[in-house]
Amino acid sequence: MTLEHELPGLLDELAADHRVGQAPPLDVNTRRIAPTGRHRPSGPRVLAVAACTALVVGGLVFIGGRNDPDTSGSEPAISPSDPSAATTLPDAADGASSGVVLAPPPSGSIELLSVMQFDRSATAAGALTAPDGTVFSLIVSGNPTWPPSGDDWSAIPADRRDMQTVAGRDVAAIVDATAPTQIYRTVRDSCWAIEVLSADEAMWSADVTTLIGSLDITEAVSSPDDAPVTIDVPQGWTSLGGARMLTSWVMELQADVDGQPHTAHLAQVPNAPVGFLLAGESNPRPFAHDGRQWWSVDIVTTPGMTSVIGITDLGAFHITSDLPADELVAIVDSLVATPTAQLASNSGVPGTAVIDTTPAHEQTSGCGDLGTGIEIDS
Amino acid sequence: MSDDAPVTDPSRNVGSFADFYEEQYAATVRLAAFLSGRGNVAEDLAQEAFIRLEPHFVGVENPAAYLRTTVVNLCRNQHRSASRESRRLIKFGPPPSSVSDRASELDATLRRLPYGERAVVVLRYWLGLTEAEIATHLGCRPGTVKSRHARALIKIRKELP
Repeated sequence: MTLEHELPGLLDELAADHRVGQAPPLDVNTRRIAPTGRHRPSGPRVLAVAACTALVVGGLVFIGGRNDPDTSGSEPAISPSDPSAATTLPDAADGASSGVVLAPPPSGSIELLSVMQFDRSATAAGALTAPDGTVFSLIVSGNPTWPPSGDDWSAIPADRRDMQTVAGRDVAAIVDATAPTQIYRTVRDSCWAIEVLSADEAMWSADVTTLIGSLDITEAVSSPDDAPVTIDVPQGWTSLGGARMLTSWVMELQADVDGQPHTAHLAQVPNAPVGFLLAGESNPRPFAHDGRQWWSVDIVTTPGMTSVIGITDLGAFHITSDLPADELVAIVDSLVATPTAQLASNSGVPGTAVIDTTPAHEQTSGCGDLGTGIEIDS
Repeated sequence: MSDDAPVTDPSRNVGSFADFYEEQYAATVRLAAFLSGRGNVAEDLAQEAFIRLEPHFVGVENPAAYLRTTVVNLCRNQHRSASRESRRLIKFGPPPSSVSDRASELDATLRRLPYGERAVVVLRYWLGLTEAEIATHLGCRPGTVKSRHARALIKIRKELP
């Protein structure tokens, strides 16, 4: 069979693998299509993502396997008790592959289904809280375009886009098409794509002006230990930290709650501040847990799905499942510190090797490297 | 051409927008996934395309072609989605895939192709469009489609001997 004859069948196979649920309902009065469960982290939607999405993440290693009762036993449980950790932790540090993460204890009711390791992201992220409690996220990456949606800017409905000069910088705002409370504001820069996100009613506000006015942007970063974007936290604001991820561990867990199995996805970034994983979340609600501030997010696009984002002594975590926040907190509390080397040895179950096939990240000429990405100084 | 692929019949007899939307939704999401190489944002892109089509639905001669062209353009200009995709990937990881090794290799190869070449392959071999139709969708000359097609096949053959 020639390649030309083979391609349609292979493409059909790939298309079938991309499972699509029912079309979301139409609201003809507002001409909006109701959001779908695009954030859903498990089941067909996640399967549909396929192994094709490592575009802006450096390397990826799949270590799939079930927890081996003989290997992860004796580490002490985590006791997250330092409320200042969110701002005093260093940016996501190296050496995570030889570090420690939270994992289910060998004799507990939570099963470790799979583990994946991500290396070095091409984006940096952080978060701050405005005086009124609104969480603002900042995401920094290379290769900016202006307008931020390229040639397509003028095709965005006028009521969902606007450009203004804010604190002396050109800023373009776009209201998310599927999550209308999420507003993406892109600061114009020749080297960096800098997004300021918040769940606001208005595109522009005094807080937006204050935050953008606090940005210090460096075009050519000379050291990999430097950040092209630094923020002098405005008075009355609170830093939740920022980082460029070097290594992330994503686990699929199974927990039995009231006799029913539930799958949870747990992401951990060793030594990262909570702002790194809180960035981009819509409408996070803070709550106190063991003297620290954690956050819960109801995923509006997938009713019934909840995320909890927080910080432990090991760094930031993000857990999502179809369980309420208090159950997710209980799951995290039941996990124990486990050397990542032990996770790597638990690869008894065949898994799908996910290979990074991403083209090399092209940096705009004269702009240097992303370095540590973002620094948010208190 | 796939049975599941978006319709290519230029007939205007497609009923209401709601019916058209229901019929075309899944295939449009899959087209966006192919073209963008990012399954996580495919539904966003598809929905955006339907939102843009809706005001013109009654007036356009071939809504399916209009929709397809909109998807092609959205996938070409999806810079804003990249950071979101990155964030989701970091938080949830990529899912396992159940496709064959050969299909998986093709998937990886397609994602390495420049956008124009990837679009030609998908439009030609998944949708079964002609060179002229592909040229219209991509806004280029048929000769450009031909050369992109040739370059893409050479690269795919290297990866899928």
